[in-house]
Amino acid sequence: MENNPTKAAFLGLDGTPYTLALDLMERGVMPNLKALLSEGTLRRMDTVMPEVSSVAWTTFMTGVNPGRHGIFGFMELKPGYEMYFPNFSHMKARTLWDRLGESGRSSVVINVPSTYPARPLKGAMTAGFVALDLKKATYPDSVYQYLSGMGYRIDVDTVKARQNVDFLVDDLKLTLARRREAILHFMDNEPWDLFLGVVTETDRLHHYLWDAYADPSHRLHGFFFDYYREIDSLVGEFADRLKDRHPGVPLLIMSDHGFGALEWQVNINFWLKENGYLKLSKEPAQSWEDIGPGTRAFALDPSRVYINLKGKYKRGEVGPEEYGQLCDELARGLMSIEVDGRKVLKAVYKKDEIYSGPCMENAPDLVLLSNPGFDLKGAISRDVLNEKGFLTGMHTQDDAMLYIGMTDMPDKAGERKPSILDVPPTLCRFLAIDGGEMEGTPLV
Amino acid sequence: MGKVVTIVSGLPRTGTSLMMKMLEAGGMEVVVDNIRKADEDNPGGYYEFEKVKEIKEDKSWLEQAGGKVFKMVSMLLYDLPADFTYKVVFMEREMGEMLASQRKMLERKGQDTGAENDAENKRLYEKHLTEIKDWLKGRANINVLYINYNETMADPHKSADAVNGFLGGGLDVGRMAGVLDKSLYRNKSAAVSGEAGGEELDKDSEDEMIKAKLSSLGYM
Repeated sequence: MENNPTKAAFLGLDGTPYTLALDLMERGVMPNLKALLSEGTLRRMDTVMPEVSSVAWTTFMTGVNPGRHGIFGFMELKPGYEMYFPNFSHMKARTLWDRLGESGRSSVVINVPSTYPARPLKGAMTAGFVALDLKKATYPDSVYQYLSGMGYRIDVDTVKARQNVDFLVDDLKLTLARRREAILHFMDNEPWDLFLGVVTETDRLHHYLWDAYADPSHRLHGFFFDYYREIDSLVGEFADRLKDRHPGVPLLIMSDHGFGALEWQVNINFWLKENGYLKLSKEPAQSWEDIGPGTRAFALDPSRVYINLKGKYKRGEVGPEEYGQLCDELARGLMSIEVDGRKVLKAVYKKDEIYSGPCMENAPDLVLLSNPGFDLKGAISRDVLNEKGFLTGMHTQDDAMLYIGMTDMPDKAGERKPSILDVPPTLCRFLAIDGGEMEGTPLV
Repeated sequence: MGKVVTIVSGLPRTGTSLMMKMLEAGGMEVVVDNIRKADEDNPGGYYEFEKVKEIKEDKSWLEQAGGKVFKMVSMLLYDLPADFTYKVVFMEREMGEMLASQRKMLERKGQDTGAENDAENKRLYEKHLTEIKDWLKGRANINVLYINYNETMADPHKSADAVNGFLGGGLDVGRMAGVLDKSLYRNKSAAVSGEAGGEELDKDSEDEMIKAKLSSLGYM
């Protein structure tokens, strides 16, 4: 098959781990994905830190690290400790489709998280999580008209799901059905040089029902596999349409992070408080605005620790002369946390070890990487170090999946484990555009 | 007068404008004067009616309000004429959040937030709430439904259902919930006609929705 070097198609499966994909193919649940292995390679991939969708998808869509694109998590604090929720308008780097649009070529972008509110582009888009309003999530208006007419769902209603898992099952099915319909519709009816379609239902399935996958006696064990049969059906249909209607266009399939069993939620702010780094002006704290005088550090979800710097925060306590030593002290202390005799953390990274760029001032000072089973939480008002929550699955950083249908392009990755940063320049290679300041290495 | 007068009440920044918007979407006629224009704190408008503040002196307009809904801050409920029948949808919100929302609004207007008086404000508001609720209990001509703002953010359909039931049915619950639940378009005709999605949520409501979604995925 001759490679078409100027187009590329991408299907995202939010939170689908490489190891799960292997298991599902082995069990015969994903025959379409398995068939694709004869035309390309499937790899285990590292994602960005923290391993959360807003950061990972933004890294994917821009090809630069969070120190350049400016998104470090779903929430941030202003200098007065008021919480805000960064969205697409806060993102500082150019996207893949911005670059492609500069050369007059079109992109279709369906449900990529962290693209809300939608911005004009050459092509069509509907934003993904955390989109609130379909009209503001879409561009141009024809996309809104189509999606609103067909009953499109931006997301599973996980707020309701928390109360009723049977509702979750129905909502997962309905949302995937509408997502599939939308992805295939725009694939066939909208001109594109780059097609990006993301399924986020997999992430919701894993958060709530990872135990259903792991436990054969779980009443929804069968449902978990049936759901992935539906996912595989979409993979197969997407791949078939690509071959029939866009021969030679390479297919990439990627997840933004992996998933694993959640054994304990570990409350980092509780540890900081117990060890004198965090002082609250009232207990229980109602919000991060209750961060009180004397605080030297606080945590935000997921896995981020911020030094309460003088000049940066209203009640900043730490001067520049103490910064380095405090980071070292916190790193040592955090690495010593144990639950059930097991170390909670695998590593603690300082910001300049993992990030670089003009957005460093807003970067977390420490980013924590947990050991399997420990889900690091930044809630401000928890009164225990570790606890069980209502979710059974947690994100992992080192088990994302990447499939590249390379057609006749040579595999350049070799034995090197790819990173999510390598995927956007790989797409640029397929699209024959300059990746500019993208930081990864093309894998073809 | 035969018809019941519906009132949305509560302390400031507890979602009273939001509830007015929901009732309007559900098919109720709202009594407003649009003097105070929409802004960042309430992009969908304030749904206020200035004459409410002088109801003790002039209740002549109340006759025309039968079967309709107007907004009235809870402190003014004491002035309601006794010769009418009322249904009050009383909005409630966690006190700390309400005070924070008031501070943000004052900050945006460049006014002194009085943050140092929060503890005293909290005490006074809580005293008022206890007193007004006791007073309302003793009024045979006033029925009250208490609606929690945060619960409405988290589950707009549930709150819409409760309000519709309280007001005797007949409201379009789907469109009421659709004021908040803009990711879903169950009312296809409204979506296609472009009506749905026209209302804007205020910043607080948007933030509450985001918090609810993030909480449901284990964040926050």
